[in-house]
Amino acid sequence: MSAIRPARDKNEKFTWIIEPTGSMRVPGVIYATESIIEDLDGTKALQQVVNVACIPGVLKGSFAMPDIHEGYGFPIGGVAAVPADEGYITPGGIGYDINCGVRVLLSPLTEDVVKERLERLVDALFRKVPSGVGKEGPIALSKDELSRVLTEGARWAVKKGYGLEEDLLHCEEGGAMQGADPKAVSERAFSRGRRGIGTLGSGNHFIEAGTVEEIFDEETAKVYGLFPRQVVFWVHSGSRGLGHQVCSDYIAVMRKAVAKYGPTLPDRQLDGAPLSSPEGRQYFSAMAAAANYAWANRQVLTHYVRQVACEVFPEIGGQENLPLLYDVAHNIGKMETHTVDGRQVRVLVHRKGATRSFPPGHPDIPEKYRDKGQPVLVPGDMGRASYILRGTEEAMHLSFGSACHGAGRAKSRSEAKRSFSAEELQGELREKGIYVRAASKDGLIEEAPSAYKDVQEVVLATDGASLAKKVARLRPLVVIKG
Amino acid sequence: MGEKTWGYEFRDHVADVRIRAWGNGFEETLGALTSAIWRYVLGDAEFPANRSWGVSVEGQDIDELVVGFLNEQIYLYDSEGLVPVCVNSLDIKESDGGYRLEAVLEGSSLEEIPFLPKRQVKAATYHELVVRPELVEVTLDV
Repeated sequence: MSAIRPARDKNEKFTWIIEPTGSMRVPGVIYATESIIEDLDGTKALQQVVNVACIPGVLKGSFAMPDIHEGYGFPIGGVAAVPADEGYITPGGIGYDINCGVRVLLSPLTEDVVKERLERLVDALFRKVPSGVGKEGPIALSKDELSRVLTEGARWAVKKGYGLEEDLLHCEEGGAMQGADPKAVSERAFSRGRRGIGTLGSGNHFIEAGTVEEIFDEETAKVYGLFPRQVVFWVHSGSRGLGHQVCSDYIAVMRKAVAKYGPTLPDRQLDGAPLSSPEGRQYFSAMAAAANYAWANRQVLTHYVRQVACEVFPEIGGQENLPLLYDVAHNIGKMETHTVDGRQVRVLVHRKGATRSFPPGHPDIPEKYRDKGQPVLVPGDMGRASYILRGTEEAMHLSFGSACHGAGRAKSRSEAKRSFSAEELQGELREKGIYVRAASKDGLIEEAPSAYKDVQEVVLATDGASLAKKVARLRPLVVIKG
Repeated sequence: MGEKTWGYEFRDHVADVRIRAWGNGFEETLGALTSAIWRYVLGDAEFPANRSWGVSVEGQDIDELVVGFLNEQIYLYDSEGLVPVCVNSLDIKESDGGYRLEAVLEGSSLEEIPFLPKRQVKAATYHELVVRPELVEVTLDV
């Protein structure tokens, strides 16, 4: 197999094209700097962009965001839209951690006020938030209750006292996707989901306290409630075992569907079915249910963070003073309306490691942000920076309203482990004023900053291509990893 | 004592974990793969096998059978806390136009292991899957 070499678009510095060949129905379009493109050499990420371009019904392009790296089926950072009436839905375009996502809570505190209590904060967060690695979460749900979670999402949690009514206004979809059907979720997935609500999970999931280091867009920052040196909290988690099981179940279903409807795609991990087929509809309903589980999970985690923050910093004056800025889903399939060939078309957008980036004036973003565009939350790594950006009109044309979702991994977990010890890493972070706690040393090393691309490079391409525009840069103060 | 005919190694994958396992036929190879997965989850600490349980999966082809076998283990771990140490017996047969795998796993219960797991595994995937009786390579989503 010859190496795939995307060519830079003649007019766009951050746009790279793979012209359609063979079974590709559309071009591959990668938004990246030259250095990001060079780093993809020797990985399978570009082949995965090509494979996604073969999906039946795919519209305009197989898109990759600047944090692109090798996944399975889709690359991480992959976006593909298909017509809602006749397109093809693939669990491989959404992933095992359905509605893995991130949210940011604002605080009235500044870094100088909290700096003497950061160690207390990290210990209290680590004690309060169950990682879920080997230990079940504190909330056990009956099947009926779990069915309600799958339908109501974050609202279920708010009704149970985990959070504020206003939180729902600042979640994509109001924290619950329409079309969720618990009956499309298997008994096995129910079983895996019984004790997962309110648990963080391992891998790249985290809770972080960070501080606003630089503001690039003062007007938007003001509307978002951001100010210099402000302390904010990040929560990154997903649908836990329930979502993983839904994906596994439906990959098996889609294998049979391919035999029924065709076609065979270059990667079995892309198996799917027409959205209009019983298999396609059922998967969408189950995926939406798992997405709702993830929103409920992040909502409960939010409650724990607020409890701890108010205990360590009583001057906050109550949980209502830690409002939710926004909650984004970055592994998901969404029914949305986009312009294709000059017509308004209802499409399903697969986002696998990509964040929605809707522009000013879009009806699907909260009224508070409607003049400025949707907050696009981009966590980096635990040692460097994270960003908050705003959605753009350009993204609607360039990427079906999508932008990057993080820094993107650069090194394998074993390579990271070979580089240094957990103690060295903790010492290095401590020197930078960052306190870290993790459920295991191995898990900590595998998530070391050097295992990730530099998020600044990713954001440079995101902002440069106008997929989203920079509002603020933040740096971490306290991180807990599952 | 004869030479050990099975083994495994962890291979680099930027986002996830890739395992290559080998042995003298499917029983040994999938046994080696099972050991590798649970060593990844639990770390190097040893624990005794004090129970056994049966696993049965079906698939349209051998690839689906192997991925199904691994995902069954992940499901039983997540839902019932069953942690395999080894594969005691394993049999693959053709069945109704497809294949059926029946195995007996030996291991323990998560509650009885005196240490905490280090990591989680979401699922076994079809990504770059290689399945032969003497060699299996699989990517785990972690």
